[in-house]
Amino acid sequence: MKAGTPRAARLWRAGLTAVVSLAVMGAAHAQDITLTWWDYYGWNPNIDRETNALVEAYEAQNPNVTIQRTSFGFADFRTRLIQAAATGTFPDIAFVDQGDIPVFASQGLLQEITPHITSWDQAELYYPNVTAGTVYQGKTYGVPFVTNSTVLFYNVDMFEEAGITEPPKTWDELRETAKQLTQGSRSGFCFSAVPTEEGTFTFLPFLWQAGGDVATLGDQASIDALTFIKQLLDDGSAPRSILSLAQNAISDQFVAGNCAMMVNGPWVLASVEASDINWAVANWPEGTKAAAPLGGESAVVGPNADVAVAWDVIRFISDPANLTGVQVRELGMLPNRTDQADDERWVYSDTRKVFADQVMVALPRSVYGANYAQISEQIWTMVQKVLTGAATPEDAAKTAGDAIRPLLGA
Amino acid sequence: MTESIGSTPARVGAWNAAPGRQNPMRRLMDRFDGSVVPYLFVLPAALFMVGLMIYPTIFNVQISFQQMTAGNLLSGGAEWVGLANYQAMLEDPRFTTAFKNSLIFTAASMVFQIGIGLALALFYNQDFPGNLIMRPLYLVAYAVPVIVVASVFNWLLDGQYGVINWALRSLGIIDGPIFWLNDVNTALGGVIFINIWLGIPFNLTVLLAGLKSIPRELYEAAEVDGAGRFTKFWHITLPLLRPALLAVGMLGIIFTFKMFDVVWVATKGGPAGASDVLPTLSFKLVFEQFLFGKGAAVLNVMFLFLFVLSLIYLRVLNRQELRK
Repeated sequence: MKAGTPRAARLWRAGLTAVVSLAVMGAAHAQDITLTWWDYYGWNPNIDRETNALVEAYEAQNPNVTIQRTSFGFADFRTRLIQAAATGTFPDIAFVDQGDIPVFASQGLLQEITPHITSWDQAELYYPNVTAGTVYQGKTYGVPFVTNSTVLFYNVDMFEEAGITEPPKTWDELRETAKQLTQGSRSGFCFSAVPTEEGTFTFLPFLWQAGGDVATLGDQASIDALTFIKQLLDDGSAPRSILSLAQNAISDQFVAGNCAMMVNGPWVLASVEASDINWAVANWPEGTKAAAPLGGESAVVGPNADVAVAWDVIRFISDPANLTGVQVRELGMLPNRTDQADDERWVYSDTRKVFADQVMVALPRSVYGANYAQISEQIWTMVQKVLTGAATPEDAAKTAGDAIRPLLGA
Repeated sequence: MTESIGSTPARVGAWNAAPGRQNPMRRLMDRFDGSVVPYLFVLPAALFMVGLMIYPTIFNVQISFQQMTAGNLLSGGAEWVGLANYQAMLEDPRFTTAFKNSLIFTAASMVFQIGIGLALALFYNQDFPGNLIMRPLYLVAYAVPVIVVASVFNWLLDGQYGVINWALRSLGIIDGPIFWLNDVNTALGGVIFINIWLGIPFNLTVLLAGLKSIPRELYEAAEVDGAGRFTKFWHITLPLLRPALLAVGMLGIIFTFKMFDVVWVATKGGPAGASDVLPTLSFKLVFEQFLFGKGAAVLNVMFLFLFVLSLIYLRVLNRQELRK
């Protein structure tokens, strides 16, 4: 048919309408976005359920966003992230351990969210020690999601039996109390000294409390810290098996009545509460000062993500208005912002109050830079050498210090 | 042109030239036709090997000369550092300890696995009631996953609550508790102990099969000549068992040298690297510290060692074949 006839015009209009509506439909679908979310909160069905509830709450408010959540085992998580990085499938949102942000950021795996943080009105509510770990080379890469620390757990019945009324508050008291409570196959004080990050995580508070730090390993403070834990072992207060017991395994020993005291985190509360032990918590005994390890996870943005959408999800899950009490309890979240400190959802018992107070003096490991993984290996090896008697505290601290100093500040 | 009786008229064409005619095309087809089919059978396996074994090996060698991190693994741009990774590796005391441990681990495991396996095989070669029931039980033990075995032995060898310590103390062999897997002096021994337990069933089965293939008449003839038990063992059993011993030995060495799960689950290479072997060291370097270049260097050393051993094995095997 010839162009310009009425029939042609009608066909043209119909065709144009069809094309335009397809384009509009296409555009609407193009706004549907899927984000991948990786965490290790699936190890317990309750935590898994609550995390899913949080994801679904966001999806309900934002129907065009789908979040594909995958949960891995804690031991595997870092390996999986590296494999994902190598194959270009790094998740859009990942919940990485507090100490790992510099490690991943330095490898170019994280996108910075600094502009979003600066324009976020809730940013200043966070405790400075908690956010210190999310900044690398002046840029912010994550928001602390779950924050926790470790405290001293103790068996109240054993304390009463031995006539001890107060949990130990100083190193000397800790040593004495532990010695008193050690009888037969029961050890007074258990702490993890495994050759993994958990070993370093457990030792660092002793180092900090002695007034030392990773950069000055080899100085008197570090020797004091190492000597102290060696004494605990030599006294028989701590069993030799701590060299291969991770924190969860230590908790199993505590629950079985084989340890009168232990230092552990909120992740063991479920099994401790379920046991028939009469237990309580107290803050870490102080050396020359108070210190505890800062643990937990921060939400970070992967290299392939749409930063704006990922930030929106992170902002949502960080707002206390969007979290239920059950979620906070199951995830083991401790207050990391001033508006949570008096919130009943976060501090609902005396136990939580002890934990919350501990977080205030907790120190981050991420300040040690991008080579933290290697630094950590030096530290746990140093601890193991001292505890097994393979090296003196002086030699072990000096060797570790010399190996670590060039790795710092990366 | 001759035509065979009863043959159908052939279509005109170079390929269908009458028999007897020396057609060049036909000659080419004959030669080709004979030898392409075997290659086609080998092709899938060859592709598999090149893609999944040769390419990664070459890539690994390449990485060991570069400074590679997770970030530039995909995007390229890792700088070439020559032999720096190998130099750092040789200067690292962890490497020398791990290499030494690997050698001790492999040698001790093989000696005891084969020794005990052979002793058990000789025992089960005899006829006695219950023989046929007990033999398969060893294979059941072999079927237990390595991770389970290592975890259970972790508890058995525990210093305070372990059954092994309790047994040794009850028998009066030791006085105080020995922290097998937590002491720098005994950790490697503990791991070797677990590995020996793991390997005995395989050695038992292979060596027993080898023993069964030795003809009875040889023993009877030797007895007639007045040979004692030791003479029979030394002059008949051992020489005729050589192929089986060789297989079990060489394959065992290669397999044991690269064993990772036993050591990792039992001690993670601890305490303080006392039971570290090359596989666990390279795992830590690559997956915990992201030092891909250094990890690749360690793995290449392992690969070279095993490659040379394999070549020796193949050479000895070939000589055996020729002798037959």
